[in-house]
Amino acid sequence: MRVLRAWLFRVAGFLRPGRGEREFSDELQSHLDLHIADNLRAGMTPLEARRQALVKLGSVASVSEAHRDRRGVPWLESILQDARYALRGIRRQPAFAAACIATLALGIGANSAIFSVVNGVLFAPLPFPNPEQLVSIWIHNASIQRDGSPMSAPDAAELRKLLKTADVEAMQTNIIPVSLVVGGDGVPANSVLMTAGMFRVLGRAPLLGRWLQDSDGPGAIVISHAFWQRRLGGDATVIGRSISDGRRSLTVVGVMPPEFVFPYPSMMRSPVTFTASSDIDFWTGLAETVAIDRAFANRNTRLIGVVARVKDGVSLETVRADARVAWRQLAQAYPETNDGWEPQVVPLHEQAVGNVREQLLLLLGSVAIVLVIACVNVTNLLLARGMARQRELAMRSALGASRGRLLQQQLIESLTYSSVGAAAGIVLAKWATPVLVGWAPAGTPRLTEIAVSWPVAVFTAAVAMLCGLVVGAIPGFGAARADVRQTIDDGARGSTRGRHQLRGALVAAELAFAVVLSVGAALLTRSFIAVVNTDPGFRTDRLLTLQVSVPGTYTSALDKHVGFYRSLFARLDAVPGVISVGGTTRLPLSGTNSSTQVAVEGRVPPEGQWPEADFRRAVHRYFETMEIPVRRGRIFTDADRAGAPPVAVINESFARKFFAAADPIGRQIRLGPSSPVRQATIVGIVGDLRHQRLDAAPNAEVYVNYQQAPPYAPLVVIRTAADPVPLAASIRAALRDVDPAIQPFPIQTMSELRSASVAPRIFLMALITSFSILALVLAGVGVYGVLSLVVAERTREIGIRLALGASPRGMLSLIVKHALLLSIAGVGAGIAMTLILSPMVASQLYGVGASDPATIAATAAGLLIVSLIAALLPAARAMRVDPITTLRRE
Amino acid sequence: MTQLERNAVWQGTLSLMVLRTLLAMGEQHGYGIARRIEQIADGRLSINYGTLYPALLKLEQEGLISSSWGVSDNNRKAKFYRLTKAGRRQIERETREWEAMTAIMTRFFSPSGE
Repeated sequence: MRVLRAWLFRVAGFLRPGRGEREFSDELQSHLDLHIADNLRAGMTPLEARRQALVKLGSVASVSEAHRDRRGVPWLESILQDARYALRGIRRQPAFAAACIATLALGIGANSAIFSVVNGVLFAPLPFPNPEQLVSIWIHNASIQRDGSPMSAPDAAELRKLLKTADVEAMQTNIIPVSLVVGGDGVPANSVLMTAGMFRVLGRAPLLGRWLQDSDGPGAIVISHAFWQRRLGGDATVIGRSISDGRRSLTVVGVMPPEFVFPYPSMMRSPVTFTASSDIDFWTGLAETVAIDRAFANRNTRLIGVVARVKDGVSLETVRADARVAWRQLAQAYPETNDGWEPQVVPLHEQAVGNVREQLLLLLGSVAIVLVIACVNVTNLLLARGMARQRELAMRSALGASRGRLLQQQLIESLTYSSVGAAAGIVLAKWATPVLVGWAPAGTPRLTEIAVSWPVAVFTAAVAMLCGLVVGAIPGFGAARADVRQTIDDGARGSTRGRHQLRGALVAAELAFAVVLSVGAALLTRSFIAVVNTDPGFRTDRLLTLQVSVPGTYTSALDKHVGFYRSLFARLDAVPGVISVGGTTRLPLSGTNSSTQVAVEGRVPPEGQWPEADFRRAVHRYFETMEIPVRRGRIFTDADRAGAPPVAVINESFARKFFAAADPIGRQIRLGPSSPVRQATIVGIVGDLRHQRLDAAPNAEVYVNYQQAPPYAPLVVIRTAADPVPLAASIRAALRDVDPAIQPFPIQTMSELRSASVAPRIFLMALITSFSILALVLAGVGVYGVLSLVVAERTREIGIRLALGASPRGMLSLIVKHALLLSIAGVGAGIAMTLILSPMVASQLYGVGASDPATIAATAAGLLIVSLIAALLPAARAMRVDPITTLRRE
Repeated sequence: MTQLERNAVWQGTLSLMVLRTLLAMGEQHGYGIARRIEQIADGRLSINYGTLYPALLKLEQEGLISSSWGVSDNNRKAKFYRLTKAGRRQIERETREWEAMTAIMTRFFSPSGE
């Protein structure tokens, strides 16, 4: 309290200098007067009285200074004084200051922009009340290597009753694409089914209307903000509005706020890569679907994701234990389906960001390296300028400035630069962050939450502080250490060997960091090239894809359904320019998948322990259209129709996984309850294809024929003779001919899907490559700067050597040798660092090792060339030194 | 400044002496305080009077004493200091602490080591 009071007075004194000064000099005067009067009374002469009083008082200057320091806040005063000095310096040497500030602004701004992305996606809490209480619950089975699997609807329902420590709600883990009729137009929309209580558990209030309720009849929907704005024009009277999905009418009961994004892509079962459209347009009740679709009743149909809110005061560990106990009951009650499975409780935050954590942290690390290099450059600039100011510093030191004071002055100057740099950096980040979000691959979680927010500002301020201190520390200590006498004696000659070595070491460090970043960028680029050159197992060019949902009028009976397809394909085959037409239910590289349990007749394991294989339906001439090669046996023909013996085609991976060396042709297989065909004879083997991603190994796949199990919304593929894009219009017209109610989903080419599937790679590669280019430029500038100084300082020496008969070529090689020495040291250190750090990038690589010698060697050579180029200019200057002018200047 | 004057213990001691002087004398100006301290020390303490003023300023900033300009006995303008209520409390507290401390130190320095 007393201390605080004293500080308030001192701050007040600091704000109003002068007043205390006058009063104190009055007080001292009155003190002297009193003392002199006493002395006179004691019989001294006036002169002696005055002298004694002054002696007894002590040094007026030092007392006044002590009093002044006590009145105000001396360190604050000196800091302000230094800051004023730094700002004057900016005006005096604008080019120098601009170079420092711009370098720091670039480094800090890039870091702020990347940090705002990383903060929005990784660090910020999820936009729900008490988000730390939210968890996802999955199940895993070690014996069949299934991890993070959804569970069956009956298991989810029972878990809800059994789990006492959390409120459990459920959702279906597939996006269901539908087409809605809005204003007479077909509008494609993605929907997700979830229990009405899910909204309550998440706790995010709707923007308009209300959440789903258990009492809602079928067809109540809550729509997303984006869908409301984009498709319904932000209609303010949207609540209660009816929208048809072609079969029935849906009623809008609520609109969610823009930040409400749920479920996260990583929660959807079809392992959603970045390419799958993960924007959910509306949510609707799950209960009704589960009730009418008999497949859900089977405990082997695992399609339900569980999200729960942990009750207040309950720890995650308690919930995990509770879930294990609950699941043990389920396993005992239904051993044939539930044995071998275990529950997995994952915090929702981890669930949401799990699949991008590594890439984002990699980006943050890379951009931090750029900042380190920027800081080294500025340090070098300050050191160089410190050389020029050595005499001034020595003079100030001789006049009584303490070492601490000189260090402080340097730190305040660099902090001033870094603060101005940070302010510019924030502006840069403000501009760059939306650009980054725009480039981010679709499906990156939490993109809507990215903003240059308060945490970003705090981060930027902290980074600026750190940069200012780091950048100023080395030159500052140098200034404080400077030997006064030697500097003044040496005059302009200055013995600067130590400084040289320091600056050389800094530039070498810069080169080393640039090597690390460049190797990272090169590895990512090589991976990208390897991925793009991967054979996907089918031909991707001149292939048009679209999704067609079969109008409800045809799906009531099997023969009508098949008849629809017959007329559809007859019409599409007839479109000019079309070579071949087929279809499937899960398109490669589109980011969705579906699987089923499989058992080979003759060795059927107990139910619940059947291994899984990816499940597809081949529609019409699918294999021919995709140009998937037939390896053995035959593919489907028109004879494989309903009523004929059910047949299946498998891929090579399937054959290897289930039959090893044996011949699969003619063997019977059984398929799980999620498959519309429960048993079939294998008639052929086709080639593997890269379904999930180009860089993921092919899975075992089984195809059944569409005539024996017609799909409701197949993905149609059309091989065209020329560029497929112009054909889209005539395809649409053909579809209308078949039935005006058909709504094709956006028509895309396979090439587009293929590029979209590598979008995350491009994003990471492009950013890290641009960081490494930035690093290269900065390192090049660093090398240039240091060598320029070397040449400038050795001009006299070079002049003398030339005068004594040395050749200009020799001077060139002198400087180039210096540069080579620096670069070899830096690049060598960089290679060592790369070998230590490269395992961090390993998981992002494809077709190239993390410490690939060729990549490292090529990058190192590139860096050497860059630094030699940077050395050329100063070296050329050394060659042109004129001995006469140089020596005359002395 | 001598080594002693920069010393924190000395600063605290000086503050306590100032406070006790003001307690004994009531209102007093800086010169008077300095003279009084010297008298009481009976020649065993010789200080530069000037060092008193930063100490007075500190005590005033801490609210232990207050000051105002007035006129001295022999009709000279001077700045007078007096104890505040907080200052009186502070004397009691510091005196207690000082006595406790010197008691401990005395035991340490006593020849038998008891």
